[in-house]
Amino acid sequence: MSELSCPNCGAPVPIINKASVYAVCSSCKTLSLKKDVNLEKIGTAGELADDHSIIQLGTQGNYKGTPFRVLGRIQLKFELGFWNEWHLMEGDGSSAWLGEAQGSYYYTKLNVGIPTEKIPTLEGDEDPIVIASGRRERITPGDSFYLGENWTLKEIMKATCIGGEGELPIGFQTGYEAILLDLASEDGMFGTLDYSESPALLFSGSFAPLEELHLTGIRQEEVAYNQTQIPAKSIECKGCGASINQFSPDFSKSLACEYCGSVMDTESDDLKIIAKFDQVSRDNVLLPLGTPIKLPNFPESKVIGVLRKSTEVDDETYTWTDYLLRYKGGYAWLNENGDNWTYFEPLPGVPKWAPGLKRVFQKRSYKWFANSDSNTDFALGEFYWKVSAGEKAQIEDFISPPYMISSERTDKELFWSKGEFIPFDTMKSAVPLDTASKLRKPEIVGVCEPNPFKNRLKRNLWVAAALTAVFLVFQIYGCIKAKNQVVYQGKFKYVQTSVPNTDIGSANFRDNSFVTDVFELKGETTENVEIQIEAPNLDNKYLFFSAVLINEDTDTAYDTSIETSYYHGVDDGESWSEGSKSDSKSLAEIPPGRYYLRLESQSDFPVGWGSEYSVKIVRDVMSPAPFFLFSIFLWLPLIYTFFRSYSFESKRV
Amino acid sequence: MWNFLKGLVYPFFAASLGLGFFSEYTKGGASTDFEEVNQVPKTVRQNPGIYRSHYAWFTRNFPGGK
Repeated sequence: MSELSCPNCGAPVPIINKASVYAVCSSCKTLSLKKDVNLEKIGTAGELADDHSIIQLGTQGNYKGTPFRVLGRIQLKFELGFWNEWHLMEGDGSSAWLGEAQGSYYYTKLNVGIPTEKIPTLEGDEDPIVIASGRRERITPGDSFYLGENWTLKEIMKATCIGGEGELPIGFQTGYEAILLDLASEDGMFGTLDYSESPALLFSGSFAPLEELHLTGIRQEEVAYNQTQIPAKSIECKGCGASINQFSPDFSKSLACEYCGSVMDTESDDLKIIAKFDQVSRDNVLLPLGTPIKLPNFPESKVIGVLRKSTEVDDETYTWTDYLLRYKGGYAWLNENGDNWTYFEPLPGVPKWAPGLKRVFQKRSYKWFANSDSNTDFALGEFYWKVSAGEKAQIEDFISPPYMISSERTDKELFWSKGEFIPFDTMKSAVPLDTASKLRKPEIVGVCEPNPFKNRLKRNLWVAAALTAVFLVFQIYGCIKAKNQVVYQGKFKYVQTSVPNTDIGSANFRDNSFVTDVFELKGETTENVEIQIEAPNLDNKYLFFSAVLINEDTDTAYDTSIETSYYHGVDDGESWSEGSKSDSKSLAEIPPGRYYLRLESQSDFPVGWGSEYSVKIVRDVMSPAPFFLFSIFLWLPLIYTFFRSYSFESKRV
Repeated sequence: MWNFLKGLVYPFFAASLGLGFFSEYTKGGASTDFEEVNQVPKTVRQNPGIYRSHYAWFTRNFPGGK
């Protein structure tokens, strides 16, 4: 480390990194250029705004295994407030930058691998036109660039340099304005095209969660993300004089009065009014400002801002409410739409497109759900940007219940967030009792509410498919294993002996029962017997048989009945038929032994008429009926569940 | 809790069908709508009309032959 003297006041100016070219005197804010072993004054750095950053010169950290030390910073101001570009020296002496804005951190390095002719040039300050690869076009967030990587434009901003401190590899001028384009890649990378130099400089890197920076030597330990936050302060509204609370002075940039709708810039001490909402209503604001939120799996937070938004679809206005939550080290949103709750967190990067109008983020595929415009109707409380009345944005939602990803696009910014559905009971238990008592149970289906029928259908499909497969395997095995042994065959002729419908046993009834020869059933007691009857000449008649299998030795009878009936004809020019000329009946678990079959028949033939028929008795048969019967019953409820699932999906709003 | 229990309805239903299938499978898929009758008259071989079935809307009886 070398120590040079300030050319203005003579105070010592330590230079830690040999690569540092510029330095700001901590005593008199003189900006100097390093020349050999001297410093040459080139300007004066402006007064830095107190932005309550936890980082300071000398803070050390380690990001993804690379140790670094904070040597300097440039502070810039843009539409949403201040942000810092902290100049870091890594362990090997190389330079890196840590961007800090709205509680988010971006670790980037100057990308020197891009040929300068490939870097788009810019024309104009307002609505800049980018000239890239010979094309001139007005750019908007969501547009893509290829600069060694597919980048999507997230934000266009005009930044004003406030000042700087410490040692820096580049110079700056207080009050200097530059256009910056924030980029994000589908792989989660973050980049900035900085037009403060020509050609523009591309800084690329990644979003760095605070806990992954492993910072030590931070400023004001008590404001660190894991320590106490700066206490709330009371502010007098410049519009109506009401006393209103600013819950997160270290974070918020504007404050909207909940009584008169005046929006004040809280970055300036004079609290000037920067916007005013025509209407302010606390009706249906279910979570009042300051409400603590304790949702499982999310950090404890507090409601600091409320936005009521609306959109018009087919002449109908739909409204919803966004609650800005502030927690130690970050912020999130709770969205209330039709009494359904969704917790949203900012999403680094731009989710990838996938076939079928889907987006993929962290290996999860999200299906396109809706596009809509949104209008900010009114705001209450404080926000990390300067809220203005009538803010408009285009919203695009993709869902994968219980999650969804959502993009909000304005002329200047593309903001992605990831939401998770919060069940009503969870939401009720996350807020104080008096607030919970005012929450209403949703009557409509939430945008990313998990479909209980879909999950059930999926699970039941697996159960049904697995069981059907098991049934099939057993059925095939049973068919292969069955002996199908024919133990008796006989041909007979039925002749009507009594007038049809004569009472059996009455005086006019002429019995036609007979028995077959004796046959032997071999095998096990568990084996079955099938009696098959076929009457091939049956025509518009029936033959009913009372069949009894009788064991000759034990005098045990197995009673059953078999009916063959076949009718056909033509009605209104349409031919029809019903019944069958054959039928069979299986008798389960018939013990082995010597048997004969007793048959008694009835029919609707006229007296003296009849039909031939054959009888076959088969031992150990495997019927396909159980497989089909049980499989059908197995799949029937799934049809019902499918329709319930479909109905649930169609109710999503 | 109630949703959890509702989710179990189909698995129980499937399990009962599985048991039903195996019960039928062990019998070769044989329908079991027959009645076992013990000690039928030995003379049925010689006089089939002595034994009457209970089927076809009338009850079994043993009228004692033709």
